[in-house]
Amino acid sequence: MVQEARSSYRTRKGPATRERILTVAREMFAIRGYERTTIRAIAAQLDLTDPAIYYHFASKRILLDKVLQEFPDAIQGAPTEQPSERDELVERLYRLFYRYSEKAAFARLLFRQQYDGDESANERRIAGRQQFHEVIEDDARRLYGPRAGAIADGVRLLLSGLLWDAMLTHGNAVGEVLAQEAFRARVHALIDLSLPRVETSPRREPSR
Amino acid sequence: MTVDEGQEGTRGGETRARILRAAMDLFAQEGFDRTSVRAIAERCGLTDPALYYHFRSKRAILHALLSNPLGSALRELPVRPVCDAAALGQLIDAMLDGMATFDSIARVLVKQALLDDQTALALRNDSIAQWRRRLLPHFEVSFSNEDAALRTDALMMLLLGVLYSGQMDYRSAFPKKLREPQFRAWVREMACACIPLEAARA
Repeated sequence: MVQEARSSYRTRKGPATRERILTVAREMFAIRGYERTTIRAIAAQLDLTDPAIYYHFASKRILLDKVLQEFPDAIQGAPTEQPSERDELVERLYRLFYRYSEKAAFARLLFRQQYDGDESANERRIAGRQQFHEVIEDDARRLYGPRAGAIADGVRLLLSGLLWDAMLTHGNAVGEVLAQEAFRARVHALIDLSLPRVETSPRREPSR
Repeated sequence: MTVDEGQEGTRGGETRARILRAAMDLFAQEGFDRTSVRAIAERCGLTDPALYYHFRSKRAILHALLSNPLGSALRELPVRPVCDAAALGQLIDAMLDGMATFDSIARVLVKQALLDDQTALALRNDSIAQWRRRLLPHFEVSFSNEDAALRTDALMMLLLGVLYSGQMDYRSAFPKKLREPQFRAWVREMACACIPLEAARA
């Protein structure tokens, strides 16, 4: 079995090696941090030499950028949905939170880089912020009129705080904690609390 | 910026405050691990033994730094009879004051915690738990246990979102930003929009 698996790696060595480097780098950056991970350590983990890594990725920085690029798909890939009533918007935000959180190790690496002032990581953060608003803007405006801005900002910061707090509180175990039923219930309850209930007909155009 | 509390006015209190300020600067610049007790002592013109008279260890200094500004920000806040927008505004002002004072040490803790420094992690989690404990009674006057806990959680997470994103957006200018009335009004507006409260009584 093992022999077979090895030889099948060999036959498509190029792309497989590249993918394996990315996988190991992603894990090591997430666990140890970018600064403390060396190319040598990544190579050692894969039974490769340093030049073999440099053949695929010219520098550690380029490797980090490739790893980080995989992340924002979480939001970009969010399907555009039909206009939602308030309860549907709660569910949509809940799903959005978990699209983002399912790659928890990733999110933590990104947070660490952002917090350290890494520019490209912070550009991603700003882009994510805009995408969040695009996802809920229309519905929020229709449902809440002039209060929409404060509500959208508030929910975004509350959910960001929740994710960052979980990463800090639970460290590398954050992925498991986020997946727990109790945590899911907490996320849902917080979103449900922070999106005000609408009493009048939600279809009516908000007065300006 | 007052770092110390409780012993203000006494000479011991002044020295203590001086040590805490020096330690906060050094921890923020050099990181906790790379700052020696000697360097802290030198910065405030003390000998090592004189510093040890006030603090048992470097950890004890970090502890004092953490519990002081946060504790004092919420500790003296009277619980109002009703949890309405005014009460929430008062809580937010106190928390933003705490964050402004706490900014550089919070950065050290977060950086260390993200690198899995277990002590920093424990201290940080302790201080968040302390905030929660102090916030809860302000909601309990108007809500059942469960509803008060949920609102405490929401306010805590919102303010952590404001804190971390503000630190990333404004870097070293963040404490100044925290004191701007416009910024505060925005935080209050978000909190009032997202945390249902008891209606203000006429």
